Amino acid sequence: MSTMFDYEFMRNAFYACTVVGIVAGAVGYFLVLRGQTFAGHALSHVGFAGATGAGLIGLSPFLGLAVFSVIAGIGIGLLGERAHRDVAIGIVLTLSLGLGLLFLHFYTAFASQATNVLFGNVLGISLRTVIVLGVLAAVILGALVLIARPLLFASLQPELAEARGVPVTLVSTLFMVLVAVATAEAIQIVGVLLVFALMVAPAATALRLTRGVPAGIMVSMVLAVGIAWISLSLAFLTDWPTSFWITTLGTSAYLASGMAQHSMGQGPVANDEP
Amino acid sequence: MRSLPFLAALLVAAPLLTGNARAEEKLNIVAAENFYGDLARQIGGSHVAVTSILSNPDDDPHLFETSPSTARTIADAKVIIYNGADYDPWMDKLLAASGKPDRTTIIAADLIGKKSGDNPHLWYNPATLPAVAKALAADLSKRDPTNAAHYNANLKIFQSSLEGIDKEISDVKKTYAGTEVTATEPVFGYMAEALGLKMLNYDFQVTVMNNAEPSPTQVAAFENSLKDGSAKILFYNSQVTDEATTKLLDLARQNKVTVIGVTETEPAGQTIQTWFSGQIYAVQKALAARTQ
Repeated sequence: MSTMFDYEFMRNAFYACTVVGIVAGAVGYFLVLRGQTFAGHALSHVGFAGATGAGLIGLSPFLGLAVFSVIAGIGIGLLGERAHRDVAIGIVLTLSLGLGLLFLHFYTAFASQATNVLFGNVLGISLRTVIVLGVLAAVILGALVLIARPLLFASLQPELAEARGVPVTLVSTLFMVLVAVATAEAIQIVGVLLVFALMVAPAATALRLTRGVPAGIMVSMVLAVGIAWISLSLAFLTDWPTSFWITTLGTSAYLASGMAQHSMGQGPVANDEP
Repeated sequence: MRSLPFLAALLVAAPLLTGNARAEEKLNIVAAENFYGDLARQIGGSHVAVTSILSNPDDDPHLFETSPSTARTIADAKVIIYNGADYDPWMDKLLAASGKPDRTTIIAADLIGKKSGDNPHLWYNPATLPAVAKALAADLSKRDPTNAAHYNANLKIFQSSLEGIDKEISDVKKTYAGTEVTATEPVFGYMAEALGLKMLNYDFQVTVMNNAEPSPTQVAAFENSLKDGSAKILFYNSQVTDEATTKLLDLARQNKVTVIGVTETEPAGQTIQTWFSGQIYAVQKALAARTQ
């Protein structure tokens, strides 16, 4: 274990996972609370079209990835605030995957440059990337703090929020944009599976274990960072992929929280009762 | 920090203790692909320890994911050899994650002026391996001047063995230049070009390589080239075979088109020389059989 931090790539992986864990824990809390897990999943995949499209017209694949994810986030936010949210997300997701394939069709050169942007590697992060990641995380968290109150109101009691004059559609669209930016940046650094895993399981566990919102967000962030740290250590010891450990620990935490909740005698429904 | 005593060991201890291989600390070389590793072993001989990252011929290199032990090996190496041209992009990232001022990186694509978007299967280009060997011998001689003669002698042997292969290539070219062939993937592209063969269905191959769906026109053109006898050989990537490839292979066999499997890694038990010679011989044999 002591040799793990001798390696710069392991130190950078720990820094990056800490930053991604904090952002994923906070953003994920609202995502799970609002029942928009599928939206998070979709946003982590729509970037494919953006990356290949940008590569085709000679722009940076990352720029394409980010722009496309944000547009898709806005699309999901505007289209699907009401009953057919899953349908809206599914349609945006499949349309962008189809577009991505069309762009690849027009490629006459080797496109790995464009598609590489989709495959991050937590063990291949430079210190400069960690700093970029940190700045972006600060921006995302700042924006989240600004919209947190109306977002929470709109998430828990949408009708009442609308009646009180909260711009529900605007708030939820802004939130989707935040999710899009967070995933777009993190995908190319740590990979799709890792981002998504850190966004869902810790938040879902925290929602089961806590009652208040601030406590929930804190637990969610601590769990995400803790899971990421333990997973990196286990990956270093076993040589198995980091993403495997993160998903396994996340699932275990979620299942354990269910059991804890059960033994304490409070069903999942109890939380939602006034 | 560790490099100072290491260099001292190389400069002082190695010449004093010649013959005692255990006393000499070997220079760590990491090659992203195993044929570059084979090359490094042939140039460095007993003075280097070589680790190749991609060496299983059953792996598809495009789906490769790095493990912590791979990242560790790279962090510890003095010399890194990789292909470049976005064939092994994970290498750039892993190198960026472990800064090391005294490390040498030899990128095949840079040596022969290829870039992202070009066909990345550069080792089949006859210019590539000699260029990499020369760069490696120069770097090893600089790091370990006492053994420079050894490295340069190995370089000469390596170069002359590749000249033998170049001769085999030009023999095929002399007799069969302009013969039309096709392939499911662009793996063998540079070698086919060197052999003077005319590659059909190049756009189909790029599409497959990009993991996109070939269009109906591309598939039809491909099937026609097999049916109407224009393609004499079908090269396929024996590491990546899916249903669509199997279908094309069957179609080729039905129409008596010779099928030759090529690989993206050096098969176990072979050297660069036997691997290349074997493939060139297979092409020659196939074309000779057709003209009889």
